[in-house]
Amino acid sequence: MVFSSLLFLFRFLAIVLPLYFIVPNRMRNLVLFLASLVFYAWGEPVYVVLMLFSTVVDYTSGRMVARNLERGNRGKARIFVAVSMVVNLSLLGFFKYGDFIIENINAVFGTRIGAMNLGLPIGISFYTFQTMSYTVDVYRGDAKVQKNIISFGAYVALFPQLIAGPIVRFQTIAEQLNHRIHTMAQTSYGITRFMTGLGKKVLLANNIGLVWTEISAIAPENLSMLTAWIGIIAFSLQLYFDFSGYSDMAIGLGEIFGFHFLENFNYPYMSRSITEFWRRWHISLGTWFREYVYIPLGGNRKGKGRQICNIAVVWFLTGLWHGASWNFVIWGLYFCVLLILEKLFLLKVLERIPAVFGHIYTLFLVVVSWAIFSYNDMTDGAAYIKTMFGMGTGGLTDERGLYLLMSNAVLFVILIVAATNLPSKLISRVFAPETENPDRAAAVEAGTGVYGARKYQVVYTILQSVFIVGIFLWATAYLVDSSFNPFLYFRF
Amino acid sequence: MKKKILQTIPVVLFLTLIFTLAVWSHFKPDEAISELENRTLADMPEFTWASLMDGSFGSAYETYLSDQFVMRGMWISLKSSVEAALGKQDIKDVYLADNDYLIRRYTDADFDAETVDKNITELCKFVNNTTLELGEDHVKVVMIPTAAAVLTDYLPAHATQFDEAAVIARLKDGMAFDNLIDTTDTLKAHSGEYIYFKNDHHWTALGAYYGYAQWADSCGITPMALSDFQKETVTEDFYGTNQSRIVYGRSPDSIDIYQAEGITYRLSYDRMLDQAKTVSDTLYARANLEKKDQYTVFLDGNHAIVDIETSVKNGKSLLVVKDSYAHAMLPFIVNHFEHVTVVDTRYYNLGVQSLGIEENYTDVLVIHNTAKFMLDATAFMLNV
Repeated sequence: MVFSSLLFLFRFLAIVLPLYFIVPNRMRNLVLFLASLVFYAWGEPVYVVLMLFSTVVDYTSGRMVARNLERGNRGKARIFVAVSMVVNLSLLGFFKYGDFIIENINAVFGTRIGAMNLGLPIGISFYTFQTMSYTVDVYRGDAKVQKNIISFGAYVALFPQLIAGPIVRFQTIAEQLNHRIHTMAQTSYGITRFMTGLGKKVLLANNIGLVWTEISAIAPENLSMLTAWIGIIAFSLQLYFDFSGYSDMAIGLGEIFGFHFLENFNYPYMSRSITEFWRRWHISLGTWFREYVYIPLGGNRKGKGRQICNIAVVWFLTGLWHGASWNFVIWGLYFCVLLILEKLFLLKVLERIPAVFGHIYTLFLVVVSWAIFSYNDMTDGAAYIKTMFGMGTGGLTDERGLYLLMSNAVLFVILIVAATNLPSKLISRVFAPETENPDRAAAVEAGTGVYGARKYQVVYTILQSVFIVGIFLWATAYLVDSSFNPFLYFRF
Repeated sequence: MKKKILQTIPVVLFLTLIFTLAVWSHFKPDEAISELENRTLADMPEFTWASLMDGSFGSAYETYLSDQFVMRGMWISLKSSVEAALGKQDIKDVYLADNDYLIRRYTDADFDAETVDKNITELCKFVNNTTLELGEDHVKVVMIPTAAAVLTDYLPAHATQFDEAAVIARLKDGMAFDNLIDTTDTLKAHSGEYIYFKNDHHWTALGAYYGYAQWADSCGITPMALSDFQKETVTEDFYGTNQSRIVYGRSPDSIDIYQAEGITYRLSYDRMLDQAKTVSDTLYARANLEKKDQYTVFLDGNHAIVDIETSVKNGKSLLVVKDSYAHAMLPFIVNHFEHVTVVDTRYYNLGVQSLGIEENYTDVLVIHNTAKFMLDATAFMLNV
């Protein structure tokens, strides 16, 4: 099931919301767990078993790790961490990369092993990473063991972030699994955040996606240069609004149910360097790789040479995580090279020149990267990039490009403004307080930050209400109308 | 305290919206068909364990939910209005053109190259073979362009459309004789007149008359003058397919019909279904003016096969193979024949050859809209 559907809004949520708040506190994790299983099983009735298997394995290994640590037996505890790693990575390897591996073996050795054609279990890249983080966190003492299997199941299957992240590390919500409070301020914030995400996904991402769909259907060498740029910029915007919209919905739903997930996007297209971009784009994935791969490998503590090697490993894996295809690996290594260059000298240069050059440099390289990202067939991807740089056969401009530009001009402007922090800055300037708040749990209890009172609270409430009702009706109109509701992050 | 009450308002609004629509859509009685969209709506899928496990129940239920959602038309209309306000020049591939025209936008991506190749081959083969039997003057193909190819002045700037002329050129190349009648230039010469509907993809009877006149000239028949017909406006409240697609229309169409004086007709529909055969004495099914799709006033809309006997006793007999663009044109053409058979390969599954062309007909006429021809999956029926 996806959030942006009539089914989710008018059936799932309409049943789960009242149920969750009616039952006593101690049963709420059970409601969340069962609801999450239904949510998952709706589209994947069989693969839900896989997720339950992963849950049981990590629940058990987590407890074994904790028990052995208590007894001072670190060596044995490590074995159970390894068990969790091996099981989860095998699941991921088999279901996500099985056919890719077979394909490459066939290509290298000339064998003819048949493809398995298994179909990717939804969200497997997200939940395997989450459950692994649990065992590691317990081993490292970053989180306490969860003895209640229902609560642990609720963490793994938690529908708000189940199928497209953010990747919530166990330590982030370990406390909240056992004790969480629900306040009106939190629900109110959660709803507003959810509607923001729904609007981003249904109204902005899907709409600009139509432009990319039309352009990507044409053989890339026949596009004009103008059309190629319009297409890839449309795709860049679609990707951001689709994914960050989904994260907003996840974070908002989390708040409604009393959880505080960490932010996943922070206006990435405003970055002045690629290094900064990756601190602002899909933050939870970057954090995961830093915490569980980069730092364990030694990070930057073992000399420059080793550090560059570590960066390369992380980015090879980051690329591969995005899909079982070589173009994703190339895409990851493309960023790897840029990040290393920035680390060596480029960052210092970028800091010294006027900000505008940094923005242009970053946007340009990121937009080009999406062309690598979007074509699994690398010949098409290369042809597309060639066309972008004037080496195609379609000329400089054509009627199609001009038409798509004119017809979507207003939409492009809206999207570009919405991708910056201008709107949110404006809101906090007028209505203060600052919307940024590092410790959400403390803020909820104190009723401060995003949960607190604002200047002109009446005006704020009116605007907030108009926003919620407006997005709600408008998004419903799109959902009723459209079978066009693609979801980009299902592949990961 | 005041802060708390204020923070409650958005929550209450959100929940009210969710529950109202949830409950309403649950209790709303299901509808079988949507007149607006001219299609049957999904029923509640039957629950079986097998369909649950393979996921088909889940997806069928979602289709059902969206098809049966409360006030479907209102939502779609809301979406189109907002998009128009945002300056979009087409909504779901319907151009918001000048003079309140809604014009369907077709791009290359809408067509499957293989189907197009096949259709061209099949049609050329049919025409070449038939011409050898009946003669060049007796076998004609009338190609009718889409509105976007004729009303180019009304389209938004830089509007792109697939290349219709290229398809017509390929048809011409494939035909050994001079059979093809391209009506594009004729219609363009009258582009200031009311030759296409504003809200529907079809041409009007007036547009069809110009097409008819060109056809008649090409086979050496003197076309009847417009003044030979009695014109009657049968509706001024017609919203057709393009309006249905986006539930957004700015002014309604009117439909004019033309009746030849002194000629009588006897129509029988769908002869291969013996019991279902219906008989009529008019080319215009006025009862259909009560329906959403009022274009079906012409020849009662799509039928597999229609036999028309006229009071013109000239011994000439015509076979028409067509799509729905022909319906507005046939009321002019039939007056030159004693017997006319109208076949639609999309519905008539016995094959055109089964009708015995050489034995039963003196003339053959194929009538197609370019885009519909390119999309047709049944062109092979011409040679079966």
